[in-house]
Amino acid sequence: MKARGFWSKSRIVEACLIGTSFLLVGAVCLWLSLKDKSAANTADISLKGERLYSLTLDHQEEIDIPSDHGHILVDVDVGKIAVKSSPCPSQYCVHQGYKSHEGESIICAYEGLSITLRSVGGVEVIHV
Amino acid sequence: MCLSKSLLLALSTIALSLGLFSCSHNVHHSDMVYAYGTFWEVHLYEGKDEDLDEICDYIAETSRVLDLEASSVEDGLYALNHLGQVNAHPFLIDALSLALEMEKLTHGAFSYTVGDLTASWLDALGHGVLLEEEIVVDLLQKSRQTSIKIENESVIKTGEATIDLGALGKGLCLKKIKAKLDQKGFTKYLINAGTSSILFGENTSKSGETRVEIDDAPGRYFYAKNGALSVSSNSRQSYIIDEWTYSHIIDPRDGYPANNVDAVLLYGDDAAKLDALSTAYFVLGEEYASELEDMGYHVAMCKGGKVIYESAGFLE
Repeated sequence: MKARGFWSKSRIVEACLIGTSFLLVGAVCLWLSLKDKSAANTADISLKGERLYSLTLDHQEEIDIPSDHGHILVDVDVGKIAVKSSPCPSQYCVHQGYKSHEGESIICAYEGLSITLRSVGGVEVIHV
Repeated sequence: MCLSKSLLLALSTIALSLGLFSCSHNVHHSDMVYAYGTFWEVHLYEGKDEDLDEICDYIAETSRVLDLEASSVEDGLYALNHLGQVNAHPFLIDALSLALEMEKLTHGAFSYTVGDLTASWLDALGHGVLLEEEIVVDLLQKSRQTSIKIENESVIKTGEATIDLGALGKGLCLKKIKAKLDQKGFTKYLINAGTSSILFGENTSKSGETRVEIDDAPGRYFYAKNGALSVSSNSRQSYIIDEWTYSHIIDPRDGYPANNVDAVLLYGDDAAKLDALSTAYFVLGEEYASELEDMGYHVAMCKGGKVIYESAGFLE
């Protein structure tokens, strides 16, 4: 079939090339973003949308969080955090194991728990 | 449009997009290291992961050199204390040289031989009691009878007291790291050695400054950039017995916990000297504070939740 009007053969090739280049750029950007992911040093723990803790990961600690169906046990261990035990039936949150990079999160939809990791990126305030 | 022009357009799109991405993408490498008895936060806002690793490795290595328990380090402080003579690691030589310099500079308020006395005090205070005077006198005497001599790479110790360089190790390490960063041409970083010693480069904000808030004087703060801060404070480590607060810093002149001030903050360019001087002037107190300004440092001293001495223009 012969291409007619605006969509001539050369236009289609041109569009394909530009489209491919955008895809390539997108893929490179995504790769760079993931590659530069830093170690997190802070975790925000929320239950049903309410932030319970915003804690640094520079120590060892076990946090017992009462939830609708029992207790969730969160383990903080120098630079990483995990849900150690949860009353949820799927245990998906427990199986996610330890998270340690900024941007990562652990979700327990059954109990409404979310743990989000972040880095004190561009540290702007320090207490001494 | 012919195919070659289309190709050119596509390549231009890629180059432009990558250029824009690299400009807008903030590099931030960070890690934590446990060294010198505390957690270090290392933030690099430029460079590569390898640069971060190099810094973290250096912190860990120098920490082992000055570790009083690291029996496997043949050229470190443990070996010096137990053998009396070592061919010392360059970092140990530098630390000891600085300790000797600081001892002369601080009216006897800095001592590298009061480690046993300090440890005994902390043990007693941790148990809610004061150290017996007899023990204080004995340990102080041993401290005064202990000295070191540096001959090229060799260090000789005489006397029974333990050499302890905890009062300047972190600062010296930060100073060396700054030299490494300068060598790489890096200016954007922050290295926090457990809040008692901090090395500031520039952060990613427009001004590049980090706001430093002072817990010992609520509401008071300053902005730091391209400098080093050393803090000696009771707020991080002190003991209350019979409603009296005892510091973790021992006055080498009388062997008792120093009580002139609650906190000393020193800001300047030499992290190593600042570390040692903040400890010494915590002991000396407000009376001697102007000496620090004569040395070119910004100083603030706090007591009772207020700033009782500050360099002009230092704090907000």
